[in-house]
Amino acid sequence: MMKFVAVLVLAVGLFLLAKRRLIQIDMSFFLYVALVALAIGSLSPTFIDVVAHIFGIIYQPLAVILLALFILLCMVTLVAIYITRLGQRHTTLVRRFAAIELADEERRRAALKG
Amino acid sequence: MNSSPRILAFLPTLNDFAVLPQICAAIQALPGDYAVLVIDDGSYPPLDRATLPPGTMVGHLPENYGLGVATHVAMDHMLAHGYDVLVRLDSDGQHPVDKIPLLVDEVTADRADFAIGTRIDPHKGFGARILATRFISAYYRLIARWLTGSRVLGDLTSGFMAMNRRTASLMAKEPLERYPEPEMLMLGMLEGLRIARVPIKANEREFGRSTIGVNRAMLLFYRFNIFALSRLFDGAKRP
Repeated sequence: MMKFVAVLVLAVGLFLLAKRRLIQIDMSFFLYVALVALAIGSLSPTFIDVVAHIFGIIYQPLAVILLALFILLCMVTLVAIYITRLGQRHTTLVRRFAAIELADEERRRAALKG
Repeated sequence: MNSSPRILAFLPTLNDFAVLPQICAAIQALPGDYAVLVIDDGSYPPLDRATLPPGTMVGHLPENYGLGVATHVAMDHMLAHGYDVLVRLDSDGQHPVDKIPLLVDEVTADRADFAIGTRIDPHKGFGARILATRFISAYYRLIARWLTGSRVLGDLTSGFMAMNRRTASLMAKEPLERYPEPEMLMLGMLEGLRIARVPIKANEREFGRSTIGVNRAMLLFYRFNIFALSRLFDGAKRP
């Protein structure tokens, strides 16, 4: 029961963050996917055992940590991609603004030259 | 190219104003149609236009975006306002202004699309920093030769350069980051641009200090390798 409550609270929390535009909706998508996957995984009492078996982890509880690390790594990568895109868009804007400012400079120079 | 090419000399600067007015004045005194553009790359306090000779164009970037963005801004301006040649030189007085015509001549005489002022023996001495720089430069040249099939003479890190509109159009489409010189030169080689190397004796830095520390040098080394690997996977063809 507590598992579902935890997943529900996280889902509502994510929804509120997306709704208030504190997280971009696109960015919250992966978090939801991870949440749904974990919710489904938690339905199975042998989920962790299966994961541990697949990856050859002898001490099963370690699989939980590795799974969490994997999800975190995916999220960090996703955020890095978003930040990179944002940086590229930002650079494009800076170039546009600089072009406008320098067009004025060019006019000023031409006027000075006569 | 017409008989009187329009030349845009561009100086990126970051808190390096000590000899900037003299450099701008010296460029304006050169024979030919020179316009001077200073890009203040987020200096604090910002560059005061009044300290520069009249007719110098000044662009202020609100933050420090690095040489790649500053170079992009200058290339955009060159392309938008019909300049024939873009010259880039440092604002700390290391690049000899009197050698600008040598670089420009290579481009205006249509012998080259991209002329680089290659420093003669750029890394003298035996200090740890100098040895590391020498090693990195040698590595850059080795990789550049491997990728392009051409022997790369001189240093790939020189920021003293002149380019025509073809080169600027090509570079303007590429993402240039901080300290983009090695990538720019290699891009030019890979795209089959005619590259001229003009030997110059760089002046000693009179003011300020290099912004490339150990951490940044490692980052640049890493970035160069990523660039080289990307080009390799893109199927870089030897011209």
